[in-house]
Amino acid sequence: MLDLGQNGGFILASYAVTLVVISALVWRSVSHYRVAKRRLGEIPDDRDA
Amino acid sequence: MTDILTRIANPQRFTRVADRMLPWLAALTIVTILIGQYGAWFVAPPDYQQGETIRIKYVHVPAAWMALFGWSMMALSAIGSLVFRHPLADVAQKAAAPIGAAFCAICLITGSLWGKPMWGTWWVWDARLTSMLVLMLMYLGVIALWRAIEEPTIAAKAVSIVTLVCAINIPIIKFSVDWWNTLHQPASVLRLDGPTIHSSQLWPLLVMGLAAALLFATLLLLRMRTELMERRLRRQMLNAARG
Repeated sequence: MLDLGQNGGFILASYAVTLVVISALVWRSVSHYRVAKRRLGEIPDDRDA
Repeated sequence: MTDILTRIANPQRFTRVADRMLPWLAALTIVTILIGQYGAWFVAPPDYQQGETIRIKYVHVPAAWMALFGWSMMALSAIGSLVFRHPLADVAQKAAAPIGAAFCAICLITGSLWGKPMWGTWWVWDARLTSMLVLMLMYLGVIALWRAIEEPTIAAKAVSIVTLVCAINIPIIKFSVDWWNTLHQPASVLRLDGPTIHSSQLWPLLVMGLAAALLFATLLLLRMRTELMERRLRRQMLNAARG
């Protein structure tokens, strides 16, 4: 087990915050992409019009 | 370079290229993060003064680099949008803002978590920290501006002007530690006379910097794809409403 010393809480909190912020950003980006793709599929294509 | 930019100016061509690149970029990002984290936790030694707390550096510094890179990229896109009227420039600008804001938030929070045990305080109003907080407010400002104006072309003009004016803060952030007496340490990697940190700590930091850049690129392409689809949806709905 890695011994992080007396400031271990600060180190782990830094990595936890990074993980939470990046996960939220990835989740929002992917979910927006999926919603846009699904909505685009529901509307008839007008590219040839 | 101009030729490449002209070739991918067509949104449909860009979409095809982005779709092919996204899975590879995502995979490369994950592999790079794993290598960087292995180096940060198991190869890099503890600092002789800061001990294990130095490991915060491997998330704090790459996040700061990407926060600065994000606005610089937005400023270049603003020129592309205002001067060259490149059809993807304002799409890239809009897609980059939340990514840059997220990296800026990580930089500020992890910096505070690093400052408390090392400086004895969560925050000081020194030039580096304050200019970084201003960058965060700038990101939030342009995100709000994109949402406040419904018509994308009008929003793009307003955001481009604001982005270019506010870009003055980027060199201020970079050189704040040289121009003013700050609690924040001076640059130790991006220096004219070369890095001042030991190679055993430098390579995991550079790998994590590359990982952050790859993550930025992956999310940028994904968000640009989404924005292009949303603009097409908007056009189709307007056409349908007009009959």
